[in-house]
Amino acid sequence: MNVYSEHNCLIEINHLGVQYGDKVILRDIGNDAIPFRVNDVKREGMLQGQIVAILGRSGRGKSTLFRNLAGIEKPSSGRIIIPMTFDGTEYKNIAEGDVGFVQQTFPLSRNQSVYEMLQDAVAMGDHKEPADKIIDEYLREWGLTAQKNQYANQLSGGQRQRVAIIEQLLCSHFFIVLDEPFSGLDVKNIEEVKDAIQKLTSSSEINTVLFSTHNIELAVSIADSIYLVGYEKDEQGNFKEGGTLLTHYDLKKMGIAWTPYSKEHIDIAEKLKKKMLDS
Amino acid sequence: MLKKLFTPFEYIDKKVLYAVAGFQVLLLALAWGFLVPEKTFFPRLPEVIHAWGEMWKNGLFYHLYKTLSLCLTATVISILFSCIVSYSSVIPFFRPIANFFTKLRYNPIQGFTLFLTTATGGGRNLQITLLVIFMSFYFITALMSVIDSIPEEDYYRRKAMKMSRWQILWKVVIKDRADFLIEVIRQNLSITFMMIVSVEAMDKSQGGLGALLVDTNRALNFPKIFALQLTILFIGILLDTVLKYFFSQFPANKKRSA
Repeated sequence: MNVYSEHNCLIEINHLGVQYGDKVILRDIGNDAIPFRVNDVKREGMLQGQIVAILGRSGRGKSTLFRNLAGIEKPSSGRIIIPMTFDGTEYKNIAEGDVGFVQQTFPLSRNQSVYEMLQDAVAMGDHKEPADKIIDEYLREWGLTAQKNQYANQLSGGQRQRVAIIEQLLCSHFFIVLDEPFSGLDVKNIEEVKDAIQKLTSSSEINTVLFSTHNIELAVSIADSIYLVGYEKDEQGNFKEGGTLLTHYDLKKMGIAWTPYSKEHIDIAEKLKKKMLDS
Repeated sequence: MLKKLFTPFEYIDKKVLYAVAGFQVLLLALAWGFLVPEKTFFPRLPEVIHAWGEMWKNGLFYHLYKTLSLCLTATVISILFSCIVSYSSVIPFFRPIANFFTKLRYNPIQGFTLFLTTATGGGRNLQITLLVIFMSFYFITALMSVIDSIPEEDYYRRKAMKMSRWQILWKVVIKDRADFLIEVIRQNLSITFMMIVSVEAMDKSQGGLGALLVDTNRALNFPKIFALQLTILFIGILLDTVLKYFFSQFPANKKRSA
């Protein structure tokens, strides 16, 4: 079993609800029964960030939840808090720009080269070193040096994804949310994105990645915490309106986070699958 | 290959397509040159070429210059105005104004010509004003359609980068879609060409191909009419090609090499 300890809270969702007109999209996310809280995890002798997976069927409000987590949309009720300082003393409501947001379609500029896009990102961040140096370093680290002067339509899916991630990282974010980062990618690209997530969370203790996916096995294999979003059923067996948290698996506590894929992982994937089909 | 040429959705090599187009033009020229009877209203190809030569000697270049300068002046003013109106449509207060302009393209301008003649003093100013007004309605409509089709994800991306709303307007709407502005000009320039004849005819003293065409029409000189029509058509095609080239030079429109 991996030895770890949990420290200050990095992200917490409190009773979040989203409603468009009369339509309820999300309902009471992060309540007393299933709290949504990501703590700073520490493991001896290594930098260990946090990887949180959010699963759920299509149309259950995952993308809406992610837009709220990115501070781009304001919730109708409840709130999401992040630390103002990382000593756990002061917290604030999440705001636009606090969290890096990599979307499912990896949107990039149409007429800017990779270098130009990253220049924009550096300009929006808080960097002391010259932009050229920072960009070259990131490109080398993420295996994109050869793509420095290429444009979005010349990049593969995996390359686009990595550029989108670097761009958000350069705006000095510790938190990054990835909306369905594996959708539409081939086997190699999936491995690239998996590596990217692991690279991200092994470069700083505070770095926290939250991602959504339909691929349960993949989520179980790389996340240290998994939440399932779906529709709850009432006493008559009818779906209640609006997605909410249905279950939470803390793989750290179960002793199977950061370990090779095993029978325990398969069991959890099976349980999640059943629960997901019923949500 | 022949079967492929007549089968829907078949892929044909570009060189073959160019050859087919060349063959069709040649066929048309031959038919025009040899099949049109001598005594008819429809002018024969040699007559049209001869008429064009005559007109060139009699100052066709001057009229050409007049038309193109009018077209350029009106396009530049119209694009500047249309950009201001369209780009400001992302600001809620100005949205209804921009929407109103798009609806005005259903309003016939003829009713305003007397008012505009008085207001502008006629002549060149009237011609430019009429073209600018007409073109702007179409440019604004097309530009607003470009803006409306920008995916929300593009805005989210820049918002997540902490960019201000004004930076987003510049980066996402204006700068990253500058190529669409050229495409909007290209697609709507044909309207300018259709209108330019009527506009130039309003004050023939200013010259231009339109004025020349009206005079030639009156004289029932069919070879000259055809020569002028073809001149206007070729200039239009030339401008269309140049604009298409500029559009294709933007990175987003370049074909992937790999």
